[in-house]
Formats: sequence, C-alpha cells, structure tokens
Amino acid sequence: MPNYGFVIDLKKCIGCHACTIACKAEHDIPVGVNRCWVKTVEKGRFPDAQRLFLPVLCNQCADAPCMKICPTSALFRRHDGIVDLHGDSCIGCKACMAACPYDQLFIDPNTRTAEKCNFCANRVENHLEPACVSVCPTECRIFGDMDDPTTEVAQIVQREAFTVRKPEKGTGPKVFYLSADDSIIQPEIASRPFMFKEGGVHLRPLGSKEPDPQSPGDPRVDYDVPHKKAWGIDLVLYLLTKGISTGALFLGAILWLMGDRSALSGLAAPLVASIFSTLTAAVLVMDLERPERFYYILIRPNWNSWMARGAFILTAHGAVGGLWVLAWLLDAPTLITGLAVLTLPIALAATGYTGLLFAQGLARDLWQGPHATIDLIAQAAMEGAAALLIAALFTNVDPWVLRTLGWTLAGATSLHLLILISENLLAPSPTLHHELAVRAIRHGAYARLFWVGALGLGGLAPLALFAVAATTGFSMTILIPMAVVTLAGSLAWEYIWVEAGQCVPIS
Amino acid sequence: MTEFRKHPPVSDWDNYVDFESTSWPKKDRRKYWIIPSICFNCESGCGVIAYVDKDTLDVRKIEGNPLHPGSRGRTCAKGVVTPNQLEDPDRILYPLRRVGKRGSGEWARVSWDEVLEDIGGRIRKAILEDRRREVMYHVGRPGEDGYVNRVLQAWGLDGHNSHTNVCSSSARLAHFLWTGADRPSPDYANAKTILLLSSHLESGHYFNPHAQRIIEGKTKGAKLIVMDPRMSNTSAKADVWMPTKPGTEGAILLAIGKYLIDSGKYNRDFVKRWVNWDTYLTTSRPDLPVTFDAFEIALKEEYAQFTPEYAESESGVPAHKILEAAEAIADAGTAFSTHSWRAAAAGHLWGWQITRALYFLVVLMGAVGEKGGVNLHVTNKFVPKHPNPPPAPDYWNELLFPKEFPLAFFEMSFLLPHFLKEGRGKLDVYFTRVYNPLWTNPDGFSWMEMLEDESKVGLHVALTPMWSETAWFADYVLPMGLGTERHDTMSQETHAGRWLGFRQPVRRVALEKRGTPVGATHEANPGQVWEESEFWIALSWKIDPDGSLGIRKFFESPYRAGKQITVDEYYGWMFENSVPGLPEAAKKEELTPLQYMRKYGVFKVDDVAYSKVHEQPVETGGVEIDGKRMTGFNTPSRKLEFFSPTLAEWGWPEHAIPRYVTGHVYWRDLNPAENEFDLLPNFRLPTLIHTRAPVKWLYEIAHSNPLWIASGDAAKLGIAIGDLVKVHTGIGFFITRAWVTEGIRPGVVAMSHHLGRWRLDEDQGGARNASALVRIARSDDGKYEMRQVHGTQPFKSDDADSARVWWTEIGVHQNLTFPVQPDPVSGMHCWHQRVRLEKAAPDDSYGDVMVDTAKSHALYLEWMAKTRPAPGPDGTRRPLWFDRPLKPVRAAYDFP
Repeated sequence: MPNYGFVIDLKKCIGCHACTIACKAEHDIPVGVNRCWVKTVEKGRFPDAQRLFLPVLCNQCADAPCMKICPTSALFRRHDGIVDLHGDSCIGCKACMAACPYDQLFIDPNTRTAEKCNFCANRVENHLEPACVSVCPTECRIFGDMDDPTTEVAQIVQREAFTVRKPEKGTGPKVFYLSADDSIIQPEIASRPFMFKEGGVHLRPLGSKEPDPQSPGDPRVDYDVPHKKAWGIDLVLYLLTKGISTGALFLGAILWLMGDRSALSGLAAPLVASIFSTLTAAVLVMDLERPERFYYILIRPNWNSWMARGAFILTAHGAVGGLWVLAWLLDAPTLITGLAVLTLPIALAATGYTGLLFAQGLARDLWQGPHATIDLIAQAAMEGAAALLIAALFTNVDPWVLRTLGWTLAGATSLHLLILISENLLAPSPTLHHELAVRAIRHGAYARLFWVGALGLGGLAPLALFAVAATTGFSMTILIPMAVVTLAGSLAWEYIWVEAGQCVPIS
Repeated sequence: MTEFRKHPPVSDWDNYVDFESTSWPKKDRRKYWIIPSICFNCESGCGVIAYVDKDTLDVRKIEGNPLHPGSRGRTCAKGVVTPNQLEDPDRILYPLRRVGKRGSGEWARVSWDEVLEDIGGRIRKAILEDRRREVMYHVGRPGEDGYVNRVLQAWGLDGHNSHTNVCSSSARLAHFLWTGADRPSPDYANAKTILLLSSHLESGHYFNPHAQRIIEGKTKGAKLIVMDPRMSNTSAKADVWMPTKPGTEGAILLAIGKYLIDSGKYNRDFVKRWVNWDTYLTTSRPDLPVTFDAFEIALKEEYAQFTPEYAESESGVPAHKILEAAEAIADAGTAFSTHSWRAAAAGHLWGWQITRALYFLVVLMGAVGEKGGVNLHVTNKFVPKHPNPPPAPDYWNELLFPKEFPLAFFEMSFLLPHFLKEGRGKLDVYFTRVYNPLWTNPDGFSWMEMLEDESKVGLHVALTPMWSETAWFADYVLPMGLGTERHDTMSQETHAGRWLGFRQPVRRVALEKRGTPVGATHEANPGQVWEESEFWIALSWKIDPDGSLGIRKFFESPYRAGKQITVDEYYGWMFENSVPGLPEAAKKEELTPLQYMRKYGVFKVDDVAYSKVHEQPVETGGVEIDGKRMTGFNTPSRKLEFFSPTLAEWGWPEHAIPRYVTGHVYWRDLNPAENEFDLLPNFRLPTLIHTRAPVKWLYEIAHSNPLWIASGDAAKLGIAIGDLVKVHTGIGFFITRAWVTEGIRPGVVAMSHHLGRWRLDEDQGGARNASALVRIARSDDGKYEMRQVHGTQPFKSDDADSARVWWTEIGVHQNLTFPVQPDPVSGMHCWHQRVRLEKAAPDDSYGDVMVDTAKSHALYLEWMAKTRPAPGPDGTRRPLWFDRPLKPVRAAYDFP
C-alpha cells in the first residue's frame, strides 16, 4: 500500500500563488475558502530584511485528529494514507475544524459540508500529480510514496533535514518542508497586521500578536487567507443550557436521595433538565451546517468521537429527565428514586464529556488539560443550583434545601474561581499558542468580559452574596440575585472559553 | 511504484475521462477533449490545455501544455483563471453602441452587420479622402505576432500605436543600441551568475518561463543578484540584494565594469573582436593610437571615478556587496545572465543608460549568445511569415513618431492627448484594443478629455473582452474572445530555443471534433463574441467590397480565388509555408500542418540556440573579424556598439557611451524637510496583469495597492500602518493607505502598478468584484476630483461567488496624478515621481484623487523642451536602421 506525502523545498518557492489558484480550479473552490495557499512573512531590518513563503496544504496526518473527532466518520483514510471526506455523510458540525491543528478544514459554502485538501485523490487515482504540483513553475513541490525508497520524496525525507508543522501535536504530518524558518512555520510567532501589503485582512484571529511599531524588524505576516473559526455563539449557548440541564438534574437527584420530596426535586429539577436538554439539542442542531442531517450522528456514529459519544450520553440524559417528570406525574416515588440513582452517573457523564470533546479539538491549546472537565462539572453545579434556586420561587421548599443549594453554589463557584485564577492568572502557559489565548483573556479582546463577567459576576459576586446569606440567613431575596449573577458570569466564561480558545492563529 | 504524470498523455487528449472533483469521492466520470491553446493573460505565450466537457462544451479547467518548450507544462496563477474570465458575470457578450453623449454610459445592443457597415464605411471614406492618418489602431499587449500589423499595412496605414513607451522602450533602446536587437534572451537555466534589474521571479516580461529557469539555474548553483530599491519576491530569493537608491543603478554597474576591466577579469578577446572600440577611439580619443591597448587605457580613464566606494556613495549599497557581485560576475565567465526590462530603466530619465551599463557587463564578459549567457531575442523568437505581405505604408504619421523624438523606440503613445490638444492632428477612427490608456497611462484625465471630445476623436471603437475605464468612453464596445476563444500565433524568447505557439478557440475546435461544422469562431463563442482575426478580415471586405481600393486582395483566400479568406486558410497557409520543419513533422503523423497545430498547440522550431549568429560566416556583407567575414550584429558597424555613432550624430554626443547619469528624481535633490520622496509606482505582482484579468480568484489574493514606506520614514511623519496618506505629485494628489515596512529603502515609497480600478456606473462599466464606484467632478479650468462612492461590494449574479466577495478597498488609481514625462531619447515615460507626503486630513478619504490637467499640459511642455528634434545628419526623421512597427517606405523618412 502506498503512503503518500509531499516535500516542499522552500528555497525554490517564489510565492506566486499558482498552486492556490490551480487548487481552486481543480476543485472549484468558492471565494473565501482555500484548500491550499501560500502564507508570506516579512522579517528583519533593512537592508537585511527577508520575505519568506510557506505553501500550506493538508498534512494527511498519520494520526488524524479530524478523523478522530468526526462524529459520522465522514472523514476517512484511504488505502494510500490520504485522509478523504465523504461529503454525503458530513453534517457540518465543524468539529474537524476545531480538531485540525493546521487550519486545513473549512465549510464549503456551496455544499455546506466540510472540505479539505485530499492530495487531489481524484487525480492520484488517474496517476496524475496533484494540481498544485503539476502547476508549480519552480517545481518546489514533490509528491510521492514515502514508503517506497525509490521515490524522490522518500529519499529526501531520508537524507535531508526537514521540518513539519507543529510536530508537538503528535499527528504524524506528511508534508515535509525543506529550509523552513521558525517565524513562518510556527503560526504564533509572527505578528498580524490589520491589512496586508496587497489587500485587506478578513477574519483576523483576534488573539494574533499585533505588530509593535517600536520593533519594526519583528516577523510579520504580510499575506494570509481568511481564517474562519469552527464554533461560535451556538456552542456557548450549548455549554450554558447543558450545564443547567445536567446540574439541575444531578442536584435534584441528590436532594431527592437526601429525602426531599418537594416539587422542587420531584418535578422542577427534571422539568428544568428536560427543557434545557431540549434547548441543548436545539442549539446543537442549529449549529450544524446541515441540520437536516442531525440524525446521522445516531445512525452512523464514529465511536472514537466524543461528539458522537456525547450525543448518546445526552440522549440518555434527556430520557432520564423525561421519565422522571413522567414518574412524578404518575406519582411513582420509588421509580423516581431509581431514576435519581441512575441520574448520578449519567448527568455526570453528560457534564464531563464536553471536556473530552473540547480536548479532541486538538487545534486549541486552551482546551487541553483535565482542569477543563473539572471546571465543567463545577460550572454545571453552579448553573444547576442557580436554576433550582430560581425554580424554588415557584415551589414550597424546606429551608435546608435552600441552604444546601446555597452551599453547593458557593462551593462550586469557589472551585470554578480557583480554576479560572490558576489557569488564567497563575499557571505558566505550556505553549506559545496557549499564552496568546490567555493574553487575549487577560489583557486582550476578552479582558473586560473576563474580569467583570467571569471573575466578577461569575465568582466574586455570588461568593459575596453567599457570605451575606450565610450570616443573615438563606432568604430568597439574596439567593435569587446570587443565582442570576452566577448564570450571567457563567455565560461570560463560556463565551470566553469558546471564543478565546479559537482566537489564536493556527496556520 | 506508481509513476505519476503531470498531465494526461497526449494519446488520451481526444478522449480523456476524468473524475469529477466536486462530487468526489463518488466516482463520477466526465469526458473531455483536451485542446491546447496559448494563454492570453500576459505576453509570455505560455502553452495551456483546456479541458472541454464533451457534454456541455464548457471549459472545465486550464492547465499547462506539457509540449510547450517555453512553459513546459506549467503556468502561473493568471493562466489558470481563464475559466473565471470566461464565466465572469461582468464580461461583455454583445456589441454595444453608445446612445447618449460619449461617456454618459447609455448603451444599446447593435448587430455586428451594422458595426461592420458603419466602421468599414467610415474607414473607406477616410482612405478615399486621403485622410489615412486619421485612422489609428492602439494596442496594449498584442498577444500575437504580426497579424494586425499586416492588416494595417494592407489598408495602407502608418496607424499602429502601442503601449510600449509606458512599458519597455528604454530597455529596448539600450539593447538595440548595443546589438541591433531590442530584447535580450538570457539563458538563466545554465547561468553561473544571474543579475536582475527586473523582478522576473514575480512578474517580468516572461514571468513563468523565466522564473522556472532562474530557480533552475539557482538550484544548480548560480548566484542570484538583484538590484531593486524594494524587497520584491525576486529580491527575497536573491543571494545578494542590492537595494539601490533609485536611478543610481548605473553607478554600481559601471563600478562592476571598472572592476572587471581593472582586474583583467573581463573577456578581452571577445571585446577586442566584437566591440566597435576603434570608432570610440577615433571619435572621442584622437589623442590615442587606434589600438586595443589604447582602448583599454581609455576605458580605465573613462570609468576611473567608479570605485566601489563612489558607487556606494551614490547608491547606498555597501562597497563590499558591490565587490561581491563583481566577483561573482567575473567567476561566471560567459555563463552570465542578466535582464532589465521595466524597473529602473522604465523609471528614470535616461533609464536606457542604466540598461546600457548592464549590457556593458554582458559584453565585457563575452556572454553574448553563449550557454548560460544572454542571447539576442531574434535568435530565440520565431515569427513566421504571413500570407501575401502588403507593401509598406508610404507616409509618416507624426502623431506616432513626431519630429521631437527621432530615436523614440516606439510610438509616443502616451502623449496623444497632448498632441491633439496642440492641434497636431485628429482622429476619425480610433481603435483601442485590449488597451486601457485612461487607466494605465499617466495623466488619465487628459485621455478622458480627449476621448470625450468628438472633434478630436470621431469614432472610438474599443475591442475588448471586458469593460475598462477607456471602453466607457467609446462609441462601440466590441466584445472579443479571451484566450480560449480566438486564433493567434505567438512566439517569445523564453529560453535558448525557438517555438511557435497557436492560440485557438477551443469550443470551436471541440464542435468540429464533434462533427459540427463551424463557419466562424463567433458561432462557437458565447453570446456574440467575435475573434479579432475574423473581425479584421470582415472589416477589410467592408472597407473595400469590390476590391477597387486594392485592399480586398490581401484578405482573399490563397486557395479559392476571389473568396474571403478563412482563419483556417490563413493560419493553414502560414503553417504550410513559413514554419521550417512543421510540414514534415505533420506529414509524419499524417496530419496537415494546421491539424498538427490544432492537435499540439505548439511547434518546437529549434532546441538549443547558442547559435552565436554573429559568428556565422557570410560571403558578402557582415563584418570582417580577424580576417574572416562573419554575419555580425544588426548595428550599422555590425559590431557591438559601445560607442553609438547614432546617438552622437542625432544630437546626443554626451550619451554616446554607457554613462551614469542621474535622472529626474535624484535622491540628492529631494528635500527631506519638505517630506519629499521618490515614488516607485511601477512594481508588479505575480497574480495580476495590469488591467487584463480582474477576476475573483486573483482579486481575492491581491486587491489593493497601499503605499510602501520605510518604518523610519513613517515614524518621522507620524504614520502608522494603515493610516491614510496624502501623496502630492506635480499635477495633483491621491489618498491611500500606508504599508509600513522594512522591505524598502528609506526615502523611497512604492505602490503596485495594477490596482485601483474604477467604474462610473453601479452595474456596468467595470468588474464589480474588482473596481470601486466613483464620482468625478470637474471644473471649467480642467481640475478633476475623483471620490470613491464605495469599494467592492458583494453582489448577486449567476455566480454564487459574487455574493461572497469580502474585500472592500480596491486600491487607488495613482497614475491619474502623474504628469507625462517622456524621456527625450527613448520616448519612454519615466515612471518615478517626485512626491511630497503628508498625513491625510480628516476630510480626505481613501481613493481621493485630484488633478489639474492645465498643470499636466504645462509639464508636458517642459519635458518636450528637453528633446532634440529631427532631422538627423542625413535630413531624415529617424535613423533608417532603427526598427519601428510598420516601417514606412524610405521616402517617408524625408521631411516634405
């Protein structure tokens, strides 16, 4: 079986963009998106300034994160190592875009499904070189079977010093660069201006380094294509609605098992959970580029994908909540006790899987690490408690229940606050990418939302109100504002988590 | 191991089955004819193949033709976008006639019959009334060799006008003065040292074929030296980048020359044999004996001043870098390739002296016609004879070659509005053909004034595939085919070898393959798009329907007496009768020569041409070298003319040898306190070609032309990247954004030549994805103000991509604010501008342009005062040995 790869000799690349256009022509790629392109970077002081060129295309990774996360197995590996895509199976969830550390996937506006470079598999099967290779005026691109020692590609990779993009991601990239300068192959190093030397900048990553006028020779990108991020407000709402749903059901189950038999844990908790899990499903489907295909995730799941796994977990979670409501209406307390026991692992899984899903978003360093899962659980507890406190307005509950919810909210908030402070303010960044994201959170585009929203409303304000409640008694006049600020603060952090996570250039 | 091909094998071209990429990985198969043609998007003449869908006859994609010896199966970005052009929502598909006032933008569709009747009748009348000089054809880049020249000649006209004087005249003149051939043909692939004063790795005259070979040479070990004040992509690949102070390149080149002479590392034998040093000595140094030793002494004295340190003090390039370059050149021996086409030569007054100094190095190394050296284009370009050549015109058109410019290398095209303003003549029928002077030339508003004035231009016919600023001011806009919709022959000096390319209308060829007879190309083209070859034949028959003017006979079939010639017959005749080797090659495959060219799209005439034609023995004529009679060069002395007697005799004795002369924008004259800068406005991008291809995929990459300014200069002016800057020229100003960079020499600012297209109507008159909507206000005293209403916006069309246009600012039309600056010798417009910069005021907005055309005329007069008019020593208008398009009969050279 062949195993195809590319060598790109940057000494020969003249930055003419013929490859970009040949690719567009071969695959009829719409305006605004690219399978391959050439980034350029300027660095150094006159007269020793340099311009560097970097043609980029899909690495067809040996261990492809896009394949792993794709919930419907639309992305698949061919026998020749090429990672290809069945557009017909793609639901447009954009998880692959979040996963690819190389920025190589996009939504094709014509088909509204994901697209990526496939080394021109359609040509390769006709024994033709990929279009970008065939067109290249200076023959800087070499294509061939890396496992066949007689090919030029295999020999160069054997013989010469090469670089790949982001080897630290461990994906096994198959595009090898000769003579690549760090400042162009590492996307975080060069600053990104608000215009390029030949045109406007579109969809500039918000966390990009800005050029420092005091330091003119620093590396600076002077041409790049637009970069669309994978996820936006739908995913933010998903985090909130799902947090409320799982948190409310989990806390309802605890209260029920602690002996509360009020309508709060008996009906309000599962009702809130059901309503918000329906909303969760709705925002997830809305976020799909092909919402009419949402059920593909259930009928052709990729069991390696936390998105697919999550879909089943969420379904189970929704089912438990629904049955619980039914059990209350049927006045079947024993059944509710059983469901409450079942709820504990299911709601926990439905809360925590998101951390693993985001961690499969390998492109984004902010989303990596176990603290994310813990924080999601803490936030779900905050949001669930807040939701039940608001629901308590409409039910008769014992003071101990309110006290429990208040303590839960305060405890979860403290944990969340600790994680925010430690991750964003204290811990050193493991990577430059992470550092840029955290910088955007601390002083950049998300600073106000972070300090006022996430830390203030989502952390200090509820804790202050809790302190008042703890000394003056857990009255609703304090608990309700506490719940409301908690939800607002949570939403702020969820927005930052999704957006700042994706604000760093990755190509 | 699977062998991968770059292209489908020729044996499959008639029946190629490809997987449809857009439905992949489903294996939908589509059937194609692969039909070769020649790209029409620049002047390189690269070979392309078109994938013509057998079901729809659409051109699915364009790739390089692997059989083409120049482009070798590869193309640049501009070639690949041909399908964008074919499907452009704003292309013109039907002939249009203006309805309202000229330039008012009211158009009506008209039939081709009416078009031909009207224009043909009008030209006929002009010929009958002996007003031939009022008919003029003005071409941008021809994209063909000799077809229209023959048409004009058949009509008896000295009416060919070109764009060359805003492009390459200075470099051409320099090469011509040296060798008698106006273009060099460097053999980059085999060079040991390459010295470029042009950015051939990103634009250049033959970008793709040359870039291939420069990198090939470099990969084989050649040293690449680039002189450019700006960090071009070419400079970026250089081993030695010499960012000169603009216009001082000559000082460095002569310093290198001095090094080669002083160190004895030059090719003494070659110079002794082939340079007209004796003429130099007898004319300039009567004090010395006429011996080569004396010449060497004279040379050393002549250039004594040009030490590396002096060159550094002029150019700002450190002496050690100059020496490094000099040593690399010395090491290269005859494998020394150079090129200069536009760049510095086109930028400066006396720019041709820069190219002459460059070619001096080629001569010193004896690299002329050598492997890895510089060939003459005439040995690498093949132009076949056309059928039935008409006689030369019998008069001299002073609107083209006025007496002030006897040595102008091409027509004084960009001065036309001023000539008409001065009453030097008028035009009855004026064709512009893929030519957009209003936009491309300096002083565009003067062009607008001229085109609007019906007393100066009776009928303006724009032959163009798409809208242009100039076409808006036409009476007829006639849609002509794009690269895959027309016939032409083309050849270029792309490398050491000769080829002939054949451009063809691929749908027409496909229809014929399918068995559908096609009478004329427009039957196969979309809408009512014609091809020019057929247009000129049809028009010529309208001019002379009964043959009484003696014109029709040139457009009759060589095979069917008295019948109108078809394009098949025209090109068929050429391929049968004037391409050596082609009939035999065709016969081997049992094809006619025309069928052969239709099948392959190109014919390789020779392989390697280090023919050193100058050394070929001749019986008579030529020149005697070391006792042997040889062909020599095409100069009057048949030698390489270090000393140009022509320049000396035609009024420029001080310029008779290569000299360093500072130009019209010299850095020592600029006043930094006044924020004066040297504006380099003529650099180019690898993805665009002037006004030719305003299409979505190219504009997505490059769509605006900010002003490059050095970081230090910007800081002094308080300008940050993206700030609006006001740039004052001699006749007005424009507002653009600053691109603050370390990639330019301080004191110089630069702007790309391509961008800043505009239109006057929201829905037509320009590509909506590539132009700004503008309003132009003018005052009675010739002051013009242009303001952008909006830049590019998404729009609805049959192409879903139109709604996805995301770029907004579309560049600034700087050329409007440039006065005409004709070099008094070459006639070249000297592009560099002395400008004053300031931060834009609050009421300035992006793209604003203000121009005073009264000032521009005054400056025109100032530049005209620099000229030294004909007659020359023999009382003629122009040296007889000088080339020119449509060279008239000898008698026309005399003043009446």
